[in-house]
Amino acid sequence: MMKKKFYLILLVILTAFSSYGQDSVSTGSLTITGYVDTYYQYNLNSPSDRKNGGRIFDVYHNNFSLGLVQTAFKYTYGKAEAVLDLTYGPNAELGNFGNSGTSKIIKQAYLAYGFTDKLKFTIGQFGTHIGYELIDAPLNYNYSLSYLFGNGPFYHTGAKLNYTFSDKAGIMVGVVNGWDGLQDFNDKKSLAAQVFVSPVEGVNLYLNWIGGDEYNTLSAFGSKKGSFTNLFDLTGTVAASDKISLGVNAAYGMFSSGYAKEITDEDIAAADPVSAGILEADQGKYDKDASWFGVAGYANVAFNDVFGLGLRVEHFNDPDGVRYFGPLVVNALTATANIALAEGRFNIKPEIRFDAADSEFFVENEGKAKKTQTTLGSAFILKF
Amino acid sequence: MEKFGVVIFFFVIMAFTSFSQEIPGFVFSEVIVVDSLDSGNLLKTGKEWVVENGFTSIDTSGLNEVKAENSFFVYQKGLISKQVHGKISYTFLLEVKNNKYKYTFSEFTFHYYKQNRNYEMKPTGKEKSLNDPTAKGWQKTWVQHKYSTKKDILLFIQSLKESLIPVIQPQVVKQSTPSDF
Repeated sequence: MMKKKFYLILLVILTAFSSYGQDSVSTGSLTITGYVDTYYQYNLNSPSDRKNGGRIFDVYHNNFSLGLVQTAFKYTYGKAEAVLDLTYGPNAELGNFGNSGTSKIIKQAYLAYGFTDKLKFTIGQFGTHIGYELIDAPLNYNYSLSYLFGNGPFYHTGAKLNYTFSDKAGIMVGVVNGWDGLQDFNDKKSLAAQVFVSPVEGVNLYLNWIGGDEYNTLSAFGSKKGSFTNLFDLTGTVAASDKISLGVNAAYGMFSSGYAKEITDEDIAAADPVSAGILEADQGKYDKDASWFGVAGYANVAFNDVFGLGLRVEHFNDPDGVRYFGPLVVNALTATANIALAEGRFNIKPEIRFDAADSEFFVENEGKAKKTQTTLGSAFILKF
Repeated sequence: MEKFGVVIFFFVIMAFTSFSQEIPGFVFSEVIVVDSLDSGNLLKTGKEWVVENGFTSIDTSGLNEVKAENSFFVYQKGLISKQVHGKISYTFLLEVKNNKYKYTFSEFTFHYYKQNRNYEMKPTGKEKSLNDPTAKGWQKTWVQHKYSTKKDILLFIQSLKESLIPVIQPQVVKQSTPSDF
């Protein structure tokens, strides 16, 4: 009897070990992609500093410029995934500005694991969930980036969970170091969240949020511990037809300064040297609550697989100057053509853009400023 | 004369039982005559075949027919690794009668895919029928997709035919007893 029990137990143990690691059987796959982009742009203001005002990556006037070079590695083994997205060049330095040293080339580096078909965990440095536009030139229709893109976060380092209810709905929650930093620049974490719905076929809506104390970060939210920044963002895409696609992006940001009152010169004089430095840096900009918002609409028409046209209209409103450019209320109209050659791998994007601010924001050729700016140019993008 | 007529009739029937697999447009269809398999067995095996081969949207509500759908990714060769370029979907119809069946693979459609911010290839919603002979700007890739689709479908057709071949049952040999002799 004992012998039978022993063999039964042994059988159970052997069965358990023989089905250990019933993770989906996969040989693993590595995908390597990338692109190179360059551009030439002429600013009709002929700015004396040779830079286009308010621009994020298409910075230089009358200059043949390299944008960036990307190599992206994606390795998938069963339910596990690793992404290493490396970028090099001038726009890489701008895009990865919160990194330093050899980390400067890291645009994304993260690991992900699908616990189930619906639940996925991601940890590392990953692109932001906020906004319609991306750093990757091939993934945007327009080459120049919007004010909304430039004044929002580019990436985060942290961990997040995605739950996909179906192909029509999903959510994401995450904890990150903050806006744009490989390391945590302060002792506060930010929370990130996203809700995705596709109410009808061809319509995708993303409601995004990030909130936290961003003091002392490189993303320009002052030096006061106890501040709080909320950014709400709505991104939507509509496949209106086989040839026409529409998009919308709207964002609303709220900055709570953490200061009981606005900083005066007397406050600075009365403070110790360290505190005085902080107060001086925050005076007039980060010592009062502020908000900013923007809205952009997109319409793209693909006349055929070789030629298309895209239009973007944007309004950006930051009257308190809590974001990067200082007080700015501006409208922008951008028209971009897309010419796809070499089986769709080589794209030429001629573009014209008109910016109109409510103040003299754009530099012109004598070092003066004016309210408008028009740029003409083209980008050249090769994907591999 | 009578025998000659039978022979002629036989050849005529043979011609009609296996006309070309491809008909104008991107469609694969054929009528196959199978001895010794009634419609019930053909239908049962046909249903099993679509399930085993991963077809979806299987519809057996019709009398003596099986409808299903299938799809597969098609790729574009990158500099170092191949990349998903899109997906091709099609419909499958198996119609059965006693001792014969007809298969049809049709409605081949290319679904455009585009990379999203997470480096996932997702459908854009745009589609193109494989009946379209040209793809402006990417003709080479288009021809390659058609070629790989045809190759895959011909393999499916072969598998289908093999599964619907009647299995010859071994005859049961009655054991004789001395008294039978």
